[in-house]
Amino acid sequence: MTRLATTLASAALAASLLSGAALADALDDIKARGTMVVAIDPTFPPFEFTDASGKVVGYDPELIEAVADGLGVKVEYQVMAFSGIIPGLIAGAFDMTPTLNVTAERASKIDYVIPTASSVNAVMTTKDSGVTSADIEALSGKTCAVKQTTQPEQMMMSFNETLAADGKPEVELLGFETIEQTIAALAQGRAVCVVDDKSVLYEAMASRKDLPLVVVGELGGTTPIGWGVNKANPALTAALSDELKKLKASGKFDEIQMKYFGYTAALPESDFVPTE
Amino acid sequence: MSVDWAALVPYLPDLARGFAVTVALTFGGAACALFMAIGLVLATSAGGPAIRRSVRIYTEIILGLPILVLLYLIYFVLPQLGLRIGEVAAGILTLTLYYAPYMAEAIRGAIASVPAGQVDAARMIGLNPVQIFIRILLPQTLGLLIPPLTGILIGLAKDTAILSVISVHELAYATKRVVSRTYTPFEVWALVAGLYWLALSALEVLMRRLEGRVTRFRASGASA
Amino acid sequence: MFDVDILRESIPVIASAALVTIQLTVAAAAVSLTVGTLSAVLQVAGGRAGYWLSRAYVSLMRGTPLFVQLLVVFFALPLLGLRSQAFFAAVLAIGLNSGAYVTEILRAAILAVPRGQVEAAVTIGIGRLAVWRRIVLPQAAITSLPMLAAELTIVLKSTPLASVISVTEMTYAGVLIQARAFSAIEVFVPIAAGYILLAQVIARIARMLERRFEPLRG
Repeated sequence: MTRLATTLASAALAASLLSGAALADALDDIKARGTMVVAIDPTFPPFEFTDASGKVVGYDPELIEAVADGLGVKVEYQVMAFSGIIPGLIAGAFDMTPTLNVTAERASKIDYVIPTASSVNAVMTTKDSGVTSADIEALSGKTCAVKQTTQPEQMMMSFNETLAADGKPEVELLGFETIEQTIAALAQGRAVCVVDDKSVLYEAMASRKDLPLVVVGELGGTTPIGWGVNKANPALTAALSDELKKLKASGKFDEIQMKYFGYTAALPESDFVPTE
Repeated sequence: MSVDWAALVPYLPDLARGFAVTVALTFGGAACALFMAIGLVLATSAGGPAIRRSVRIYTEIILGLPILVLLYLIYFVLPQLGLRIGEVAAGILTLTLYYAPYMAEAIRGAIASVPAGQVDAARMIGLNPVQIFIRILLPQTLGLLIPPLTGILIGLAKDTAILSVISVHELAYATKRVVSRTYTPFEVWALVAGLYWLALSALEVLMRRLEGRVTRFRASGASA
Repeated sequence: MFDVDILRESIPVIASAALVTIQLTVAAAAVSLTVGTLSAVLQVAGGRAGYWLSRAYVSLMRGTPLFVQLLVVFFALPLLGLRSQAFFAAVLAIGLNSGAYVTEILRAAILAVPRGQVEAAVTIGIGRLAVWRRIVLPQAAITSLPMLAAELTIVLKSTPLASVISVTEMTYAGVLIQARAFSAIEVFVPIAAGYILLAQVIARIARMLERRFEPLRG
C-alpha cells in the first residue's frame, strides 16, 4: 500500500507542478470563459437555499451575483453537500465558495475574501427536552446533532476534548448533511439539541412553527463568515474583496443584509482572521 | 499542493476506530443478510403462492432501488410513519434488506445445480425443508456458492461507506472528519482507498481459500 | 402525514433531475461497455502485460468504494489542468467502476465461445481483428445479455453517489427538496418509485433484446 500511496501522491504532485506552471490566476480564467464556478450547499437558509423551482437563492447568492455583475461574468453553481466543498476548493475544482466560518486552521489552507457576515453558534432544543442552558457542562453526556465537517462540529469536538480532560462525559455528536436533517433528528428524539449558526437556527424556528423549538443560548465566540478561494488565486481573492467594497459603498450590501437578516452590521475589512 | 503525510499521524487512531466499525458493520450486515436470504429461499421453495408473490415483488423492488434511497426511506421516512430506528440499526437493516435478495439469488442458482431427484427423495423419507437445505443442499452447493457470495460480500463492505450520511461513525465518516481538520483531501483519501483495497483483497483471498477447502473435500470425495 | 402540496411542488424538480439520472446512466454505461470490452479482450488475448494490466484495473475498481473513486477522479481532474466538470467526472468514475464488472462478465463469455470457431475462421483467412469483431464479441455479447442488463441496472443504482461531486441527480434533488419542505416522505417515496420504474424499463428492453437474439443463441 505504501508503494501505491507514494505512486498516487507523486503522480498528483507531478500533475500539480505541471498545471501550476501552465495556469495563471483563476481570475484570468474566469474572465476568459465568462463564468465563475461557485460551489454551494443551498440547504442553509437564510445564507443559501433553493426556491420551489430548485433555483439557488439567498443572502450569499445575491451578493455573489452582484459581485459577478461587477466583474462582468456569470455565476455557475455547483451544488453539493458541505463535506465535499472545502476539499474540492483545495483541489481546485471550483473558483470560490461562500459562507465559511473564518478560522485560523482554515486560513492556513485557503484564502478568505473580506467577511460577508459574522456568526455565533447557538444551541437549539425542544421545549420538553430538559435542556435549559447552552452551557457545555449542561450538554455533557447528551446527544447533539450538527452538520458534518462544519465549524460547529469542530467546535463541539474541541469542547469534548475539554470535557474528557475534566473527566466528564462527552457530548455525543450526530453528523448530518443538512440543517433540516439535524432538526429532523431533534424532532424525532434522536438528539436533544442542534448546534449551528444562530441566524440559521432562528430561520429554522420561524419556518418550523409546528415544532416546539427553542434556542437556549449561544455557545463559543463570534467569528466572521466569508467566501473562500484557493490559495493559488490571490488576484481573484483581491478582486472579490474589491467588488464587495464597491457594494458596501453603493449601499447595495446593506440592502441585501437588511433583506435576509433584518438588520445591518459593520464587518471588518482587515485583520479578520483570528489568531489561534 | 504539498504532500504532507506527517500531518496525518495524529488522526490515525480516529481512522482505525472508523475502520473497526466498518469491519463490524460488514460482518454484522452480511450475517443478517445471509440469514434473511436463506429465509427468502425457503419461503419461495416451501411457501404458498401469496408468499412467493410477496417475495418476488420485494425482490423486484430491491433490484431497482439504490441503496442510498433505501437508507433514506428507513432513516428519514419511517419515523414519519411512527417507526424510529437508531443509526447503526438503520444501517444494518438497510444492508440486510438490500443484500438479502442478491444472496438469495446466488443460493437459488447454486441449488439449481443439485439434481431435483435428490430433493424429492429427501422429502419422501420425511425431511422438512430446513433439514433438506442444511443436510442435502448446503454441503453440495457450498463450493458453487462461495464465489458469488464473495462478490456480494465485497459489494456490501463497500456500501457500508454510504451509512456515513446518517451519522454511522464508520471509515468514510471518520475520513470526512479528518479531512475537515487536516485539509489534505488527497493524502487522506489515498490512504483510505489503499486501506479499503488491502482489506477487501485480503477478504477475497480468504474466501478463495475457503472455497478451495470446501471443493477439495468434494473433489476427493468424488474420486474415492 | 402525506402532504400533497409538497408532492405537487417536488414532482417537476424530481422529474428534471430524473433526466440527469438517465443521462448519467446511459453515458456511464457507454464508458463501461467500451472499457470493459477492451479490458476483457486484453485479459484474454493481450499477452502477459495485457493480462496483468486488466487484472490490476479490475482489482483496483472492485477493491475500493465507488464513493472514494468519484472523489479521486473529481479532485484529480483539476490537477491535470482540466477545469472541474462534475458530470464528466461522474460519467468517468461510474463508467470505469462498472467497466471492471463488465470485464468479468465478457471475459467469461469470450472464453465460452468454442475455440474451433476461431480456428476455422483463421483457416479460411479471416483477419484477427475481424474474428474478434464479427465472431467472438457478438456471441459473447449475446450470451452475456442478461448479466449486462443487470450491470446496467447497477449503474443506474450507483448514480446517486454522483451527488458527492455536485451532480444534482434524482436522489440529491430529493435531499434539496427535503431541506426546504421539511419532510422526507413526499420526496423519497416518488423517487424510489422513479428508480424502480427505470429499472423495470431496463429489464423490459433486455428481455426484448434477448427474445430478438434468441435464435442466434447456441
